[in-house]
Amino acid sequence: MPVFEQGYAPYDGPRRPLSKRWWPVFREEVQPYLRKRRFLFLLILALLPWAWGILLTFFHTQLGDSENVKAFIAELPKVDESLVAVLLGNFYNLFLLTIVSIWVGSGLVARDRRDGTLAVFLGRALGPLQYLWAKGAALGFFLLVFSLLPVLVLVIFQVGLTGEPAWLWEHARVLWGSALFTLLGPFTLVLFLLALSSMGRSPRLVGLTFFGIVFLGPAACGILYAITRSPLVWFPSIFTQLKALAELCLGAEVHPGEPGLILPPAATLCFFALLAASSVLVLAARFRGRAVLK
Amino acid sequence: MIRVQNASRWYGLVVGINRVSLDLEPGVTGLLGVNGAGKSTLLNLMAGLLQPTAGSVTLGGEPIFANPGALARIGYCPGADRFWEDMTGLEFVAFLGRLSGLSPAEATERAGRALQEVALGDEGGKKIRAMSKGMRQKVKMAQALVHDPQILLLDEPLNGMDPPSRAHAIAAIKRWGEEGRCVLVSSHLLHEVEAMTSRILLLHYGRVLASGEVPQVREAIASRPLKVFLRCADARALASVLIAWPTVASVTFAGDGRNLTVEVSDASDFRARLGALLAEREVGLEILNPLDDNLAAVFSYLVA
Repeated sequence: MPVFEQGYAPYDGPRRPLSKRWWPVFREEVQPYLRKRRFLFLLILALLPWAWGILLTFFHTQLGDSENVKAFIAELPKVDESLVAVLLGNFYNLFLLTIVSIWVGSGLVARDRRDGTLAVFLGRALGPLQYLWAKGAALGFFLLVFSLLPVLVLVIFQVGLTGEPAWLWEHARVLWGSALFTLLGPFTLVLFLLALSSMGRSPRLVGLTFFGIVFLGPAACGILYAITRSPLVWFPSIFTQLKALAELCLGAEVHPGEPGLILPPAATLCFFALLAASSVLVLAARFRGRAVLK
Repeated sequence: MIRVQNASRWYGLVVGINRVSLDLEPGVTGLLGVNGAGKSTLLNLMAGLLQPTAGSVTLGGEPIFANPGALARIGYCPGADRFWEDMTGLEFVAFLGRLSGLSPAEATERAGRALQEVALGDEGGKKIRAMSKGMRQKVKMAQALVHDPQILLLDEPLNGMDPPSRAHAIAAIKRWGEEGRCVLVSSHLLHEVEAMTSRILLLHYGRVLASGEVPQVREAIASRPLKVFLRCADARALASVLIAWPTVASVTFAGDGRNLTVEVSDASDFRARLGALLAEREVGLEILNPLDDNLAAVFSYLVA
């Protein structure tokens, strides 16, 4: 029997281009969550109100002519900008969005810093921008469940059940408003969490900090509001700003008929611009041209 | 292939390495130095994880830091543990292979082979969390190797390995050097470095104290005469000849009177003269053995 060369064979096969090497990081970040039952349960919980939206579409399109239930169905809200604003900007959706943000986002960079794997990854032909893109995309992927993804499903059902593509033109704002909300709201939160996560080595501490900012912030704003009665004191409250952003993008109130805390649209846009800019600055300071190790 | 030119790295007021210049050639080079000498800093600079405060570190003329093209040609085995502990060794190595551009199937196959290469074949399927220190070291070595780099930077790779694993790793490192890779291995254990290579780079307080083949380095230490042990039939007669040579600093008798220890200031001159003497006269020389041209002696003379 011949003796074969047992040495290490140099690899001369194809390699994935440098620009696509973020994909394995994204996959490794997303896959473990998709295997967690509790996490999936949370996502299903988040989709329940949207299922109600689909049911509404069904009632209006399929049962709206039935004499028995006509009056009842006529009182139900229709799928339009108002309903989508309510579904996007209500406390339930924003609360679950925050929980998922903490769950997925707090460890994005902090875990790699704690385990020292950041150096291993960035020492492997993976640029900081690709690394951050992969991490951000993982969180953004899950936050789509709280923003654009269910809206798209709702629209597909609406158009499919009514058979009227014209609905899209009449309610185009549902689509572009939701897309804008996703871009300015959840995606800015992704940037913010990336920045926050890059500043610590403990995912737990990052999560607690974000939790404090999101939930204790409104409490402090509430106390200030009770004293000053100025809606501008709600400026730093992420919750309030997300709700205001949903109203701004969809052109409808989240709680119609209730006296709201009205923030000027410019203040809301300014808040998210500031949040994104400061996050980008932090990330640039921590990653661009900086050594991975200190 | 890797060129370090006047590179310095400061950590605030603390110097990591200071105006270091060197060329890393194909083959195995041992990186030596006491704790805090700057070995890990130099390796991190070469691996592109640190940016030099001054000077440059280049691979094929291109800077390594923040250069994915250069980083793709380097395999780095860090000194500290850097893992996703919930993965198995195979998964972790394959994942890093994918990061280096291999397809998932190719990465898994090469990860398996890299683990075989470092003698962690079947045990690579264990969770890293459950692995011993030695097994973790092997995973680190395998991940440095999985994407087939031309440059291998190994920071104390043998730490925590049992003797058979050490022997296997030393053989593997020698083989990688013989394949034409540039391998830089840092270690505190001189005999292990000596088993891998005779080419060393000695750092001390952040500066290169010596580099080259151990015998050459030894000869260059002019302040310490080379000690040579001689055993011959007529030691007294030989001593009387040797002491007259200008390169012989001292001659000491030892043992049963047939043993001599000679201190030589110029080893090559001494060898030439001794060769001529042996050709000319029968002195009954039985043993000629340099006592301190080994790595341990070089290290202690230069650093201690």
